[in-house]
Amino acid sequence: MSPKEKPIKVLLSRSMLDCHQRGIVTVAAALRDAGMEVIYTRFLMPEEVVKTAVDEDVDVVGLSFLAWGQMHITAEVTRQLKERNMNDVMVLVGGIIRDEQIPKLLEMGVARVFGVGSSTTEIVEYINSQKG
Amino acid sequence: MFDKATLDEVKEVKEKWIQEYRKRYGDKEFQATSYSGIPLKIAYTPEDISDIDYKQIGMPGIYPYTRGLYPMGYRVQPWVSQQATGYGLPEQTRERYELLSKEGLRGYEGREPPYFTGQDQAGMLGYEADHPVAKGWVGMTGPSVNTFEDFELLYEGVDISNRNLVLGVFDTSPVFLAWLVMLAEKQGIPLDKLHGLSLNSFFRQMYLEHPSFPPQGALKINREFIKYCTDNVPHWNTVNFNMYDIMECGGNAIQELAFILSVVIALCEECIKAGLDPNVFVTRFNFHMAGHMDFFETIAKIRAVRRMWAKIASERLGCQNPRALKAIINVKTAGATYTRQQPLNNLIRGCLETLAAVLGEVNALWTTHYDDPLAIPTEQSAILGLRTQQIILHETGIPKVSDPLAGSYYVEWLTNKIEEEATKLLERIDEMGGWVKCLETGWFRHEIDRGGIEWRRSVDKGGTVMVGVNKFVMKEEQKVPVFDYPEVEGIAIERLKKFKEKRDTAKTEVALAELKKAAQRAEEGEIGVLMPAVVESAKANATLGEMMDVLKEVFGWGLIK
Repeated sequence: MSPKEKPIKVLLSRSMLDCHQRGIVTVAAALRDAGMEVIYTRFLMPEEVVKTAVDEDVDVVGLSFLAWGQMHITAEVTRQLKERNMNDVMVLVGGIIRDEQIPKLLEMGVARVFGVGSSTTEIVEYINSQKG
Repeated sequence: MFDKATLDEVKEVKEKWIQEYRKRYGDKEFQATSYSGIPLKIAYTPEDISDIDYKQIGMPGIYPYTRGLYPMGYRVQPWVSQQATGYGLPEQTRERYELLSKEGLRGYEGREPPYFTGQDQAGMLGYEADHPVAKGWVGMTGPSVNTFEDFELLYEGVDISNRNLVLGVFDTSPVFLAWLVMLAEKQGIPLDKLHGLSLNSFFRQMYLEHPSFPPQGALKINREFIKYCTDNVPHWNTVNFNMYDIMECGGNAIQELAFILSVVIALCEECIKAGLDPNVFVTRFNFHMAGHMDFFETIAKIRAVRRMWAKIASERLGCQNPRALKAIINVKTAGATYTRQQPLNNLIRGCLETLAAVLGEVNALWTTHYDDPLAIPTEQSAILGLRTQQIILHETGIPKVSDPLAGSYYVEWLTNKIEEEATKLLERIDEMGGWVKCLETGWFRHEIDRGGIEWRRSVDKGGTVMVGVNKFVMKEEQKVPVFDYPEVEGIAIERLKKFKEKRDTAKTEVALAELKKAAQRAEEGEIGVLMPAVVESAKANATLGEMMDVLKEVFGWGLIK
């Protein structure tokens, strides 16, 4: 972890429609171990994610999708963040993401996609390199 | 189980083995544990099982059923191939399922293949296709089923009197069963001709973060569900106790047994308190376990859970009906052991996990398709899952002899060890206040999450090997076809709209008001009032979301914490 006064603040969130939490819970533990401040929420509507990101003034938003929902929800979250001038917030996506979806997600403003099997070290290093 | 002369011989040979070992490796120890952390010896001998009474192993079909439920094993009743599938519109799901049926899905002896479908992610939680929350999720990982007409379409041309119908839904189980009752009545099929199972994992928040009825409310709803099925749909299996997801979420085999047995006990106690006879309703429970990569642990835990359940049902719940003591077990091969990297490797994992389940004498099997970490199955991968089972059944000769590993020093020792550890853990749950308490305090989730986090740390450090992920990694990934969902949201919404326009809404509203009253009475403890009102609402053309909203309002709804 880089010597910084304030720890990096990360909002991790997933849709309640998707019952797979193992991935995001694991990532949350790894980010906390790396000294980051992690807020973990579940949502029904994408605006709930944006509201928390704004209220908590986070550095990073991480969204996890195992069953589905990645395209619609990510599009809404990135669009609404832009609307609220939250351009500094880095958006990351994880979970079961198809190869052909990655360029579309990047185009929406997602900084990076961490698919199934990504190591937690890789995720920690990436966030530190961008926000540390 | 062994006489003194044999044990003396064992001692003698073991002494030689120790000398041989020391000569080669001195004091060096090569420690190993099972996936669930059970320390393992290098080799097992009669000494390790000398205190087992042979009656604890027994014969197939004989109490305590360690060796399987049926006296003739797989010769008369091979496992049922219970592959599940679903996506898009009801008719798309049906076509896919019937393709699998045509390819040789096996049913129970003398019956047609099973028919196992569910509903999409939004519908699972009672959100209809036109609900804002459902946007982007309609027809994903299950068909969009919002009304009786959708349900009817799902079963069009399916002989519901001769199939094992699996309703792959959770808290919407009362609604789906009501629709099935309507469909049977419409087709003139007596309700006692219906066979099948509701997945009905009302307890899933012990491991999954998925909104549901709170535990007390869920127990009441299911007491009502069981009461109705016992009286009206007597061959309907009311709950599939899903232990599978405990290991999927990071737990181990011991937790898989103990945690789930605690909820079975809680539900039984609720039903017994309401005057229901466990000798009847317990016979309608199923157990759903994970076929995991630790081969012998999978075999041993399946044998152990049958024995544990037989003892709990007879000794703790007072069941005398032998059928109530038999744990019907269906296994799904573990999705969490599959990898996105080099996805074809998952065919091998699925085969080994299926084999372990077969050696454990399970009653039904679902071999997870190899492209599970990528999407729901393509036609080809769905068929390969089925073929895995068919090759084991017809070509290997394994199913000819029942419980072929019985008597193995290692397997019997491990079966005992798992039973012993799970029994201790179940006692601990009892001491902490039982299932409801442990769910409400988040203890189950805490224990399971911890396991998942530790596992990932070990994979990241390389201690736990996953071929293709942290060892033998390939730069060029295998390319396999990936299933693409059809776009169905517009059609599903249109159908729902038309359904509502056609119906007599005043009549629906009256039925829903009655449902609310019935739900309140059930909530207050009245027995046998809820399900008839759900059936009446379904007949008055209430939709999925409308019925679920009433139940959510009365019984509560949401995440535990």
